[in-house]
Amino acid sequence: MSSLIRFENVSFGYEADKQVLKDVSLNVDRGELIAIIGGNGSGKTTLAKHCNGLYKPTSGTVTVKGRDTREQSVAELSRTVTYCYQNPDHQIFQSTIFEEVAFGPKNLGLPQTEIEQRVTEALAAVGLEQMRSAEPYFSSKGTRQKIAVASILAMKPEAIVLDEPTTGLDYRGVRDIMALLRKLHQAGHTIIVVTHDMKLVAEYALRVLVMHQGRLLCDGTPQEVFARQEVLMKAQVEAPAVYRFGVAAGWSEPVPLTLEQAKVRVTEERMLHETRSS
Amino acid sequence: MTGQPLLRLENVRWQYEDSAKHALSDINLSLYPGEVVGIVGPSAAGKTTLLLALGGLVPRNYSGQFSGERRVTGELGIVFQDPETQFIGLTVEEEIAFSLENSGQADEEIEQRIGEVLKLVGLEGFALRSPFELSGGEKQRVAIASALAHQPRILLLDEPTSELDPKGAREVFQLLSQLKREQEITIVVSSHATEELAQFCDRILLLADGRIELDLPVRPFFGKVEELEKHGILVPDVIQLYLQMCRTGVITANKYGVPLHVDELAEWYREARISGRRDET
Repeated sequence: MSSLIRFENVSFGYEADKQVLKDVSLNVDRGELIAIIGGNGSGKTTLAKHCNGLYKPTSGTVTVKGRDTREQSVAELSRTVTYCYQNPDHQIFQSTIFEEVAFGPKNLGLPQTEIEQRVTEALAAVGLEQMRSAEPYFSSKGTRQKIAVASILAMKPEAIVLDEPTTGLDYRGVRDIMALLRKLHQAGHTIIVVTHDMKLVAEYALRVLVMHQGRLLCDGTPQEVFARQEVLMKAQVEAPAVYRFGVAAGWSEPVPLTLEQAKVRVTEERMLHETRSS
Repeated sequence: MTGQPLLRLENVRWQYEDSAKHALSDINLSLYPGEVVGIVGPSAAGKTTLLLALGGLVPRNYSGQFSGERRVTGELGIVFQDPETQFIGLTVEEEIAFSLENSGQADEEIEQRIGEVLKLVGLEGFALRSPFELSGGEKQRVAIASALAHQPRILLLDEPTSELDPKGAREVFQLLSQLKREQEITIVVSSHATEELAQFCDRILLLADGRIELDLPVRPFFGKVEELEKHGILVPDVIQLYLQMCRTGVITANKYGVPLHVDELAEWYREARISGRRDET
């Protein structure tokens, strides 16, 4: 794997005593699937917005593919890393779903046939190909979220940063969006998701960044992060229910993080029990 | 539940103007003193509309076709998903006072009431703060305080935690639990957070396509796994793990039903292991 986004001693804030990010250093390789977690005001959205130059560091450097984000416009950077807003309505403003998704590729100055093809592919990826002529504003929140993701896919960025993409969705909506992100990840995209949902972190993320008071408090696998109670306290989150059960039940390490892992553990335990009894 | 219902909907049907189908059909629902009722259902199932009908805002403030009957005794309070859109006061105190001034109470009384409800929601000392600069959980608690200022017997909440972070959501559910214990208010809350509802509600309704598909006490409700999954409702992991343990014989099915939280299942599991070892010796 090779480096895609690199933070070196990044701080951000307009006043010295009110730094929103404090001396953050990290490296994102191509093909990673990362969750950013943390409480209100921990700096997680600010960190996410540095990934494609929406914010630029007040000290330190962020480089995308080796180039300093301060030397490039957001439009240029968006070809590599695109940011998806928390509220899809912040980026939806066209009169049909097709026009909405075509907006970015048009701005890239692509030929009409290429635009047509990209939009068709992007709508197919999110399962909205039947709705291309519909008005984006009158669709459900889950659909608007998918439109926002499709708009980004049509740009064909290498990396996608999403800020709480499942907030306010029902369970089907949550599952659809996460299945889509997993599919994109398997197709080679780098995915970075800001989320409050620890069940999703456990089930989907390969790496977790925990933010606290502007600092990168912890950087590890979900297994490592959920084992550190003091980190979870500071991030104001609880480990997923399955993990808390495993700890309470006295299960050995590694304690299962997901329902599927826990089911496997139950089956293994049963088999062990039967071997002993016979 | 015993006693007289505080609120009853009988054979309620409702269709919004300009809509081709009924938003609510054949709704029969009674709310009793002191119970906490959860409403779950996929998006567009009619959860918000049902709360509006319970609150009397449908049909009063909306155009459409209403049939059926609503009977209510006692004051109602309503809290919506995003409190910020409702805030009009410059301070928390003003915000709560606005909701009371319409009821024609004396200033002293209003002031005393504000102090009481702020204490109740754990926001003493917040009277002069701007509601807009509070955290999500604090904002929602101000909205709940405004509703409580009228001393309602029934509090209706529409997805009060869906826009909050985990800490804010915990604050709101803890407050609701406390109100349930100390104030004996009837609480109706819609939410997608089934893990929290399982721990907190006495009774849950499943709403789909404007109809009440299930209306059961919390344990039997979450025992209906197939029906919940059919409607796209997340069955909490603890319950799914319990069912797997029953299927594989790791534990025997509990006569009271499914576990409602982690500690409960952990206790059953430890007991099963101890009795399992006893059987071997």
